[in-house]
Amino acid sequence: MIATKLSFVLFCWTAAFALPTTVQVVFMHATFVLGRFLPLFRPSSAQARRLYVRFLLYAGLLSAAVIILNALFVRNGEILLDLGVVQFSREGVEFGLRVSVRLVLMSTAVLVFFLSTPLRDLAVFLDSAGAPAVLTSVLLLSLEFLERLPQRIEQIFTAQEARGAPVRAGFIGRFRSLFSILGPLILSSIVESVERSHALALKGFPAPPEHRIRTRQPLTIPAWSLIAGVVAMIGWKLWESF
Amino acid sequence: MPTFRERLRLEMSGPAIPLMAFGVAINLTVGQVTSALKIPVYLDSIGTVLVAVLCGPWAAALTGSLANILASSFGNPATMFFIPVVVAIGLWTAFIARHGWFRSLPLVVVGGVLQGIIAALLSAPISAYVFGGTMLSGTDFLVIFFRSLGNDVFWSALYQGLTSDPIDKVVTYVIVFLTVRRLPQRILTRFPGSRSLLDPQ
Repeated sequence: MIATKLSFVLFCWTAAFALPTTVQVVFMHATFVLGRFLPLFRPSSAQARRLYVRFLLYAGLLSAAVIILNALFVRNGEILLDLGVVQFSREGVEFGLRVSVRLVLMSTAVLVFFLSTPLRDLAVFLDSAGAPAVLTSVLLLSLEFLERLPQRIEQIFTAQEARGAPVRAGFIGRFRSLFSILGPLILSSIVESVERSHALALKGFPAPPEHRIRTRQPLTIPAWSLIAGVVAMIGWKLWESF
Repeated sequence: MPTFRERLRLEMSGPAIPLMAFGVAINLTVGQVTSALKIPVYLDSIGTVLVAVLCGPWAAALTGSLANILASSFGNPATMFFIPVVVAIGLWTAFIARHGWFRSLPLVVVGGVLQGIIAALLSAPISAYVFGGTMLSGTDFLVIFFRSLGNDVFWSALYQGLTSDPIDKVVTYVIVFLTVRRLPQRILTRFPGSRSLLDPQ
């Protein structure tokens, strides 16, 4: 199913550049509907749902900012609203709308994919699809380190503060503290990397390719349809430009 | 002369793999430090720069790309669009590190400024044409300022990048330089990029 979702993201990204804005608005709403109702595309946890809602608010704010700023600063064409000092131009509003619809369509597709696909499942999918072992292991190790690093940062921060680092002083003092916090963080990461590499080597990493288990899943009909849609959009765009 | 495939294998083996993962995690969590200290820099490519210096260009490009992909998965899909920028950061940093620039502080500062300019040149078209110059971040005020001077969206985004990126990248480079200088030689030599970091005897 992950392949279908990836095809969906590719389809939305192609649509964001190949299709007219009005059609993009339709696709954008379709993506919202998928994220809301279709189980396979729905955020997979309560935290993911919160992120999705937060993103929708962010997207709304960003769109409004893009439209207003462009309406204010693009001075060409017809003036839609004249408030004396401030003028809103039609061309600016149209440019802002085009940009924000494209952005929201592409971003929503990516977000719906990630929020409905646990990253560990994605790593398993990549591994079974034949992705290099380095890629999947870095992805999985990153997830582990991401859980631990905030705590380590907090420990270093507290320790440096206890030693008298000027973490709450003026700008120069705080700037110097930056070095005293990031230095130990980076050094400890490098040292742990060396230790981890020994552990990985002892476990026989990376396994020879013939020892890896690959269960390649055939593409589903929806995935094929989406890929065909991508090809059709690119073909249409090329036809139009010639 | 090793082939490209052999160089790639050398670059992404041994301690490089956990370090790349740490690089991804550092890129994503360093904002916690800068916001706690209330310092107006991002430093969100510090892990990429570290991997570029210690491992090599392709390991760094992968680190930066994965960090941006993971950031997208955590509710900030806009970062996906800047993958070409982080790839360029990795390639450029590894290039100058291989040429010994990370042996002296003045060269590191020059490298950071040049990196900032490259990042600005690459991110300006993305920022202008995909986001319309607005990212809902602190640097938007700079874009608005440059637009109010009569520049179009591309030039405003470029001027904004040229104003803020070199500072960010110089700080990133200096932190990595100072940290790597403090590494014991027995640890440093475990990484494929160590040869260009050690002073020639």
